[in-house]
Amino acid sequence: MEKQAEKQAVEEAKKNPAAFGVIFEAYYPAILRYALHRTGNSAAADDIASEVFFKALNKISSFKWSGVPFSAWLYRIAGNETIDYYRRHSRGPYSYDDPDTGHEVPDKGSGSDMENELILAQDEIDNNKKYMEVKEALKTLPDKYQEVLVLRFLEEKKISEIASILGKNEGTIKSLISRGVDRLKKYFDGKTQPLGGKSVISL
Amino acid sequence: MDENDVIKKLSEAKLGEILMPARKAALKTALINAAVKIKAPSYAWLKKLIPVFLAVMAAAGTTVYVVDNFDNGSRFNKHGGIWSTYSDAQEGGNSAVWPAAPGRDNDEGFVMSQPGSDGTGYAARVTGYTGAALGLNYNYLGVLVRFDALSSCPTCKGSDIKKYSGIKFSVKGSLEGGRLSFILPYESSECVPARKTCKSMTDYADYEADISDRVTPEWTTVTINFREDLKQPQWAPKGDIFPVEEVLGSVRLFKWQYKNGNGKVMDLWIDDLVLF
Repeated sequence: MEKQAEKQAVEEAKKNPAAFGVIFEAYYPAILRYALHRTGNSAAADDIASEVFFKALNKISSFKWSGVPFSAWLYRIAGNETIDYYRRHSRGPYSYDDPDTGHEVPDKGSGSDMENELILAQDEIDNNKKYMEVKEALKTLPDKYQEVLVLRFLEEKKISEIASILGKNEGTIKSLISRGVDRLKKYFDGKTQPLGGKSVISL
Repeated sequence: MDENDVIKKLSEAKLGEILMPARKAALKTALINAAVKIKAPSYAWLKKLIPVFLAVMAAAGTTVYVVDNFDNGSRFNKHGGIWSTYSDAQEGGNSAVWPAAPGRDNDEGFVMSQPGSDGTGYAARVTGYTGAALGLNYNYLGVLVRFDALSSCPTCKGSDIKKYSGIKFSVKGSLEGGRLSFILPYESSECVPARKTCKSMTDYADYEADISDRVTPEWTTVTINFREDLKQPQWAPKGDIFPVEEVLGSVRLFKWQYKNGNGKVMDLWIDDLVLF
């Protein structure tokens, strides 16, 4: 959504809650995708996306324009919700591998479409070997590294966009990415206790 | 492995497009329906309402399935099923319908009209008149929506909706006379290429309900219980009569048909189509 259109939609939604649908349509796919990348779990991602839009609707009247796009605000909520989701469900925030597997996919139309969607989405995630390998690696990292790496490389956000989303300066983001990549390198090299150290990489 | 290998691994780990349209539609409905009932900026009770709404929908037997909420103005419903009109013209009749039925010279495809029942979005508006060329009570026009993308020709694949109790939608408009019916057709998986439709199992003696008296200038919600309100017509030949459970087990479309008008005008708006 263009910046001006986004601003217009947000201002409209402040006056008329029904207009929130425009914002929802524009950003739901991106937020769901981000939640899927962060969790690798379709049910968790669905819950997180729902919470994000509930909170956005609840707080939209207090949203103030300060140079940060509304979409960045949604991503920030999504990041917080990802952590909160697992906290609420009594799991460590970095233990995301709880796919709801073992279900036989029902025939088309024979069950709840909403349930089928979750199962089919989870199948697609589980069958993506490259993603699953990276997910396993990411979950060994502290959350601050997970979120920047997902935003940068899976969501393909610019450094400036990630800085807006996380409310940090660009130098900090580059540093977090660099250290996160270094930790993953150690992980993939088979080191369970990655050491510190800075790498020179092209961001 | 160096850092660039790690970056390559990360970049190649992107998930493909994963869409969950039914869940999205349910969430949107819950958000918007709740939001419009209160004045901004107080939404404090939403947090309780949304999980309850979703839980209710997810519960077996009480699931709500949004066929189309008409929000995007598309002539395809939420699941890829197409809206289209039809009339007796292909049988030599002279009934007229707008938007034009597919295959006519002036076919422009189905177009949605504004506004919808809540004053925003879209609705399916169909207007026209029944002719008199086919004799008394045989002239007709109507609108239909295919259940999903696979329920049209050539696949003609049915969907099992037995778990739902009925269908609900909003209507408004006017009828000069005649009869407007909601119809639950029973079709087979055989496509009839000449008519670009799936073969009728009932020779069009389908389960139906008269909803003529529900069409008023104000939006009204019509609730139809499949098992109590729908009947096959009395004239249905014995061989064309099927149990309603069998029909509900293989649904491909829903129809709204205006008949018996013989020159009368119909103007019909439909919005918020859900199974419950």
